Amino acid sequence: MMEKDKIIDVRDVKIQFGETLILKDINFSVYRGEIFAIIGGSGSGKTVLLKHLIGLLDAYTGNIMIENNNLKDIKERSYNVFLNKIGVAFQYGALLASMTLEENITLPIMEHKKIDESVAQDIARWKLSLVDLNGYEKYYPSDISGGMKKRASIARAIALNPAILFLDEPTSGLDPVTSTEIDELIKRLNKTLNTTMILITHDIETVFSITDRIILLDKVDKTIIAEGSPQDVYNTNKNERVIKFFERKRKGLNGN
Amino acid sequence: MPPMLVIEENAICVTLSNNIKAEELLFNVKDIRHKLKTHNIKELKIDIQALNKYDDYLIAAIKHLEKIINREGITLKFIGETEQFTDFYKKFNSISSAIKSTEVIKTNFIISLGIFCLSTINSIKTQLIYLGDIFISIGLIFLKPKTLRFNETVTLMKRVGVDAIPIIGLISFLMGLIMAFMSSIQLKQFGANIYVASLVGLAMARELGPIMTSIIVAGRTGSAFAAEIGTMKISEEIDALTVMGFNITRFLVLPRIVATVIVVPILTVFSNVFANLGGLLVGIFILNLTASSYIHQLNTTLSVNHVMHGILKSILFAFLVAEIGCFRGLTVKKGTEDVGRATTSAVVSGIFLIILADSFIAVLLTYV
Repeated sequence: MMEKDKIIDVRDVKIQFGETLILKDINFSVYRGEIFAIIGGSGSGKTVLLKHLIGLLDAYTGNIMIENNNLKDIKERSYNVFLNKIGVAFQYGALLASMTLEENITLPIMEHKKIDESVAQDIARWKLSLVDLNGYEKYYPSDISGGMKKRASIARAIALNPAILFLDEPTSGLDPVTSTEIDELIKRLNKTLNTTMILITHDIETVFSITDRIILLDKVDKTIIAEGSPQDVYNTNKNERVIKFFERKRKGLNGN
Repeated sequence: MPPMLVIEENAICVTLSNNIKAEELLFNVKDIRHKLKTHNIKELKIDIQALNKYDDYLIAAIKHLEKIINREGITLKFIGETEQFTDFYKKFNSISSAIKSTEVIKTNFIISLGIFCLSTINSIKTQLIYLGDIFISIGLIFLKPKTLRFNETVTLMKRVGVDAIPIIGLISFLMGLIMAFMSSIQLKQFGANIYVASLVGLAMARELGPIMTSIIVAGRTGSAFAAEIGTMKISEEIDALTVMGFNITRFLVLPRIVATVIVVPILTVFSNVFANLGGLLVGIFILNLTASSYIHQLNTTLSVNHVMHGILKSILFAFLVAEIGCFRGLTVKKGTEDVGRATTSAVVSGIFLIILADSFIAVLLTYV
């Protein structure tokens, strides 16, 4: 089973942009090797929370601990080492338009590892094959479809075999077959590389099929309203808004 | 830990420890190759018995090593390989060698020439259609004033005109100052100080006023139009407007052209005033003229004709700058790079068209 080693520990975090309160009283931990999901409706602050966890935004009070180091210290002292250990797949891919898919993936490899370019290219092809994109090495992002861009961005995020992988809505806007493939890919990477996965999603299927634990953010309360394994939250939580969030799943299970 | 090298009778054995990194193996590739060469050995063994954790980087490094020694006719053999390792290694190799590249059509000179001609004809056609659409839209304003989005046009007039006054004022003032100063050195020799007023006034009203103003507008506004419309194009906003039933020329291009055509002549007048102020300053402080004599001289040289000549020209320039800015924005097809290219091209072709039109008018007025 999963060892209880906290890789991320968030304590009393409050996020505020000027006068606007985004999130408050955020407390949760992510354990090494698990698939963790931050879920919630649109506008509940999921992406903002993610951007704080990876140090892109800095509008919070409280403590974010990554491998027992305070994120504020990491940003001051060893941000580059930290970035080496994480991978981020953005919601809209964020591939560099002026480079081919292969170049997009070799870029971080050549920056962080001391290896020959031909080896980096081999790895780029391998990573692309992991997301079922072999043969598309020489294509530019504008030549491929939205779902392919998303998969390519996951390939880029795993280029350095990161310890923590952040995925912002990995399956949104994809067909069910591709979504399932991406779910399986996430699960496989989690198993083979022991990567800790932090997903942002509102895809209920993904949540139930692959995640170990979830937190549910709420737009009205501006905080976490449910935490635990998806099955537990689904079966036992009596909060009206939590029930409402899982309503579609419930209907699906009743066979409607 | 770095790999351990043992030279055997007719093979070299490389032992990989459990926590070896790909970089460490790659670092030793040269050394391994050198040893194989000097001992004239035709076999390399890689001992992976101790290796029970490996990642794709290490596999890629081994593959790289194999490729290099294979070229020299040396074979690679694993010792203590597990089925899992062999599978992974085979899978990695099969993917790496199956590179497909994008299909490229074979071309020769004739085909290239044909493609060039067709694309040129096509681009001329699109430009003519675009221009025709603009003229029809402008005509429609008089028949159906609602064609023009009035609020949008006023906002754009503020952005193109009012916001540009400081920079146009400053540049024109300095232009007037420099012109008066430079000419004064020559004219002083003949005691023709007073003609500095005529020179600055005439040159600004007829030529430099409209040209300077339009060039600044091309840099400030033409580029902004191209970037704005180009970004709208890649974020599918233009497609959204089209399917909602809007005519893009009327919705986006027309307000921009009308706003620019209205404000640039006004900016030109501003430009003239500021340049003459600059000239006046030099006249008073360097040429020892009085303000009243300077203004009197300006008054006698400049006629309404000269000023109108400049203003009418500036209307044409404004149209060209706004038209080409919007057009370049609409030609954006994909990606952020294209937006940059369109913006640059909007400014360059804007300035080129201004100068071209000005030369054309100059020749026309001389010979006709």
